[in-house]
Amino acid sequence: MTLGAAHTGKERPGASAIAGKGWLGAHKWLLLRRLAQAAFLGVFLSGPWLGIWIAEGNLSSSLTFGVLPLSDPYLLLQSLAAGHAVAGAALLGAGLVAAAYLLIGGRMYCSWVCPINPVTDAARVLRRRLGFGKGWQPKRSLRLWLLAATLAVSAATGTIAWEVVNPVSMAHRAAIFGVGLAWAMVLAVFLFDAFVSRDGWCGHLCPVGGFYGLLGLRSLLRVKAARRRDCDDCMDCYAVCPEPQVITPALKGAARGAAPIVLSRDCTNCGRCIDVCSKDVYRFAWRFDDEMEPEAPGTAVEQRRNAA
Amino acid sequence: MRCGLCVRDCPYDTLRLAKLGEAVATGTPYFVAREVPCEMCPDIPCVAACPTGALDPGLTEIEAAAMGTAVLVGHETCLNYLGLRCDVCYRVCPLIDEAITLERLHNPRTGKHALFIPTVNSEACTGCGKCEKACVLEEAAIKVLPLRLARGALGGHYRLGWEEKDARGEALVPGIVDLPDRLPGMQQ
Repeated sequence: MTLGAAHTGKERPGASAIAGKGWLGAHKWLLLRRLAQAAFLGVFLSGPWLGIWIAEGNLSSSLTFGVLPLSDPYLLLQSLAAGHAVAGAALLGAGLVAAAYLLIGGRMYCSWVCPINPVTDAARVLRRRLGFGKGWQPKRSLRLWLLAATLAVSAATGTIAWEVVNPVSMAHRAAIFGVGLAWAMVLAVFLFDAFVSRDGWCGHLCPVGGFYGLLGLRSLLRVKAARRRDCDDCMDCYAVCPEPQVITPALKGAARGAAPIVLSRDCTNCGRCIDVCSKDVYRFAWRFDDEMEPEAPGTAVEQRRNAA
Repeated sequence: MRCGLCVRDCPYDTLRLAKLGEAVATGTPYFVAREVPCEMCPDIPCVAACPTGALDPGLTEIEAAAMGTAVLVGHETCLNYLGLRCDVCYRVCPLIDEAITLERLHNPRTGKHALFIPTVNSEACTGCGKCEKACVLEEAAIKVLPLRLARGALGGHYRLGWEEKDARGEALVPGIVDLPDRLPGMQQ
């Protein structure tokens, strides 16, 4: 049985949350995320389009308001591996970015910043509408092997290896500096996710996500299954989660005495589980906040107990 | 990092980032001299903008830049080679009489005029491309090329006999057999 199978032929995941909380309430974090993604692109586009300069450059390296340098620590790492003694603002910029993601979770980059995320999210929706299953599912650790390979190739060739193919930076650069054939790269990722592998790019292959996942290994901001006793096993959160393996330890770990915190480095803090849960099981919390919240009256668990 | 900060700070919109599918590696900054050449700003804003040092921060005098070198590739079409006095590439060169000089040769076609051959000194040339931009031909006869393509390199073991002779004051190998000279058109 696959996790999504419960929904084939049934209502879409999140339907009961929409019924209970209203459409806005059941899409709060998704809307915030789309806003953030638009904003992270918009601050780079306002200059060339409107003459209002906020951030110059792109996600690889940028200068905001002429003073704040920010750089991608993964690119910097490859550059160092390539033997280029990086000097100047990029070191400070990469340090700032790394420090931020160490705190809030590296993969927040994936779901809140990365320009490819809306593309793969769209592919996921299409995949579900077409009733496709998971498709090809290589191990999720493959992205870490790819990450190691990009560093090795960088060292061997003296170039920033992943930039030759990286659809993330290509898409962002294309939007700001001119498209060229980059649309084909983005389309390839979309088609791959839609027709070959569910969450294939972001969830299995992309070494950028692999890198940021490692960066956020001990991050503080986490999703918490605070009312996991209220869970009615509707499986909606599993159906929408791009990394569903992260849910089980927090949601179903009560018997083993596990904390209700999603501790996996793979979690992207996208907050979609919070949105689609009609029982309000989830919320954002700090890593060490493992207090359980009281069960809501009249929950599934209570009903089951009464029936017994 | 292919961030484009040099592109943003280029006041003449000379620099651009290569798009996927172009001949230059995707995302790297470059310019097309025939369209917008480098104006050789004395404060070198592109280098100042570079956050990684990929553009050499040791470059403080733009005259020392080595973006490439101009090469007069169109010997058959260059107006000066045809015996005319175009001289435009020489006149627009920011390092006139250093990077491009006019070398006088006999004009065998008329028998009584001179050819003024624009000659690039690749050590002085910065590769700014103003000559390529200014060339009056439909396709420029002078083009900026990467140094690796444009320059030969002597083998490290080569010694130029006449220089060695000057340094030593006499021939290095005395008593070399003098072979007869064969000039073009000479009967054997």
